[in-house]
Amino acid sequence: MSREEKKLDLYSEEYVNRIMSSQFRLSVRLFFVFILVLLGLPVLNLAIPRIMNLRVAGFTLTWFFLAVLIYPVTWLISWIYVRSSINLEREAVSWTDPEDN
Amino acid sequence: MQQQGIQVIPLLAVIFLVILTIVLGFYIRKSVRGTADMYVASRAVSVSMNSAAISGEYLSAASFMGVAGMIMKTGYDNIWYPVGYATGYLFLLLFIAGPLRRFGAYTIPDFAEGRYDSPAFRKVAVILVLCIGLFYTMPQMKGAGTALVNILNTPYWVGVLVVGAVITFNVALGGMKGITFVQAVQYWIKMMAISVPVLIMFIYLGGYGANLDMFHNDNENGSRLPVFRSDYSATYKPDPPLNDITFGTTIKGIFQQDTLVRITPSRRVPKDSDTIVSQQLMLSRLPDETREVVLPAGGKAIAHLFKKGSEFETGKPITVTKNGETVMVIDPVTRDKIPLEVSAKFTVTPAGPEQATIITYKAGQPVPNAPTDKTWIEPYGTLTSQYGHPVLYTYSLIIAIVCGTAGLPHILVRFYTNPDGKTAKKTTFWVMILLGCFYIFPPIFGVMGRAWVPELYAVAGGARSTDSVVLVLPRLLNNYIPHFGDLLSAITSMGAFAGFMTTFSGLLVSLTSALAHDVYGTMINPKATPSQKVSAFRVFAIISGSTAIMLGMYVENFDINMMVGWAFAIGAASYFPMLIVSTWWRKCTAIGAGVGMLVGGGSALVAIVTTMLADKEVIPSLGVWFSAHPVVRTLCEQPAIWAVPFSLILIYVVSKITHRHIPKNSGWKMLVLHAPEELNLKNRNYIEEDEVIII
Repeated sequence: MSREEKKLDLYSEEYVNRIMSSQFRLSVRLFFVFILVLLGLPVLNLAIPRIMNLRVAGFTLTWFFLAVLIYPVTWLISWIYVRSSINLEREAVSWTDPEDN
Repeated sequence: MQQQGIQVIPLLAVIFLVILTIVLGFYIRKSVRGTADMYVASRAVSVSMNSAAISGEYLSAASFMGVAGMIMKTGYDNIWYPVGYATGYLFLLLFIAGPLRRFGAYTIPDFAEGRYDSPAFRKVAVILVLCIGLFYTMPQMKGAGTALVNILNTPYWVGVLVVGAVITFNVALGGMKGITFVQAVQYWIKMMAISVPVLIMFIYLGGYGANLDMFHNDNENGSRLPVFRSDYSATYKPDPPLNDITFGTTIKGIFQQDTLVRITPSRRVPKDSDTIVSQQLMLSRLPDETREVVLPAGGKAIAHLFKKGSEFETGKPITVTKNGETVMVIDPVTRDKIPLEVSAKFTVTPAGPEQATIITYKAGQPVPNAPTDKTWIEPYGTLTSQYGHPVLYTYSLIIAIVCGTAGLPHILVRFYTNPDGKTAKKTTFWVMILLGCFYIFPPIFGVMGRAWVPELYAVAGGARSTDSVVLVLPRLLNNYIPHFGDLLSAITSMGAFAGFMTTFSGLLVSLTSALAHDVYGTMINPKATPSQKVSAFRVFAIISGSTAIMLGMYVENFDINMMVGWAFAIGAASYFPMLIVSTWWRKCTAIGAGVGMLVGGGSALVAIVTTMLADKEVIPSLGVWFSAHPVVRTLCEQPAIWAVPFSLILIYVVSKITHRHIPKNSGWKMLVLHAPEELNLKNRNYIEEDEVIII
């Protein structure tokens, strides 16, 4: 009874752990990229104020980054996440398939 | 520039918006077929519709008017607000959006009970939903009231009543399904209302960079202040701190009535430094007549009586000395030693029977209360440096907004309207794009406001302050094409109004769901028939709508940003830690999550309320104590940096202590949260939907 087997696998402790940890690893990795961008900017503002306050076409560098450029950066991170996470889910479905085991 | 009487064009725009909202509500009502429609729009909202609806609901009046005003007022540091509002969704996306939808509840209290099989936890969660929800409705109501004051000169309560009644009506009719479409439409109204005026102003007033270029951050010109473009009369109400006027340099003005003025140094000076007498801060001679006034913080002080029509001129900044030697202070950012300089600060109260003081400034005079170009355009300016710990303040601000976004129940509940976990993730991605596009614009209003309508700095708060820059700035274009500015101002008024309406409707749905589903449907009458549930939803919509209207009438004198800050801080320190731990840590117990959520949120609230009590001088001694302890003051005003970790640690520690109560089936719960839908788990949805009924 392959159906029974599949269920056993799906409802096993091992399966939960595997799917959680792979999802969590993906989230945490991208989270660190995001944190680096978000919390790194105040550090740069403090450490190299001369460069961050350079004027380019009216903007200061740090103004341009925070008020304009940061949005595309977060879009990129979330796009990578959504794509990899959906791929990961597709893979996770196959983990329970008896033929793959 | 100042306009009196009814402004016809903005009025027509607002009436149009209200009628559109009501008509849409009626149109949707026909298709509402049961409780699932009411609570979660039958979990069948498409990605494009839902992402516009979430964005529409999220962009409140604070985003629309407040962000632009704050950036105009104190500059760069405030850009963290829109950035945090938009990027908070990345947190939601990475850790919460997918799992939360997969759990298949109707409300956050549903999730709380279902995750831990603990009915008691549901009650705790309901209390917090109501608490955050009501805190967040108050600023929306206040915004609606003051916006109508600006447009119509109606009494404050009219705006509250109109917005409250229209939205309550819509929510009662269509529930979540009714408001989803309305909110999606209103996102696009708001996006248009903020972007079109900016793009048109670019043509007449110069581009983004060209406007920023008017402000200097080099050593030579960095200390410049904006100047009045024409003669301007500013009205100061005698409510602290609105009657404080800080003069950065030498500025001339004329009193329009007899006024009592207390003149103090603009910054706190060390107790043992040489005394600064008022005349030192002034160029003009002070009037001889003085009165003794009682200070709010206790004690007495001398105030000078300026007669009607008398002119004054403040002095340039002077250095503070101690025994004849210059007092040096450490710059909080550069760590350089710089001389402590102070200028004049007036605290004005009418000496006669008038309600307010009026001061006229001539064109070309620098504007009081405005920060200098350099402090405005560079990081670590007036906002974050006010207590001397700018970096701490900045980080705490970022954490509060980012985590607060991920802890607002009316936003979280929207994820249940997605068909599945995958679409929940895609929706969040699109929300980030829609919000990012929107949030590029409010800072532009701030920049152009500083360049073109600097008179808004003259009074620190109230209807004609920097908060109204979004409504006032477009009117400048009347100088180029007659009535064109009024038209643009009508468009931004409509956007602001859409802001109050959508956020209030979202909050009302989450308040009503908490009462109708969590209190009535689960605790009081679990055996309710579907049609009983629908009528319960409508009754509770009217009850919570009227409660919000009454609260809204009471908060006229509260500050919008302050109230929004409360809601975000409680959300950040309560729901956010609870959700993130509940979805990722299986050894968490109901007691641990509950204690962490309540104590974390509660302590953040207490901290913020103490700073408010100090600022409004309800407990004056507290203000004195805070000014002696700037670190504590910073941490109380922006509590997220300690309250979020505190709440997480509490959840961990209490869960460890109560480890015997770890839910037996937590492995199964984790599977439900994280396994993709394709696996067809049994009992997938925590809530089984009622059969469709026709009502």
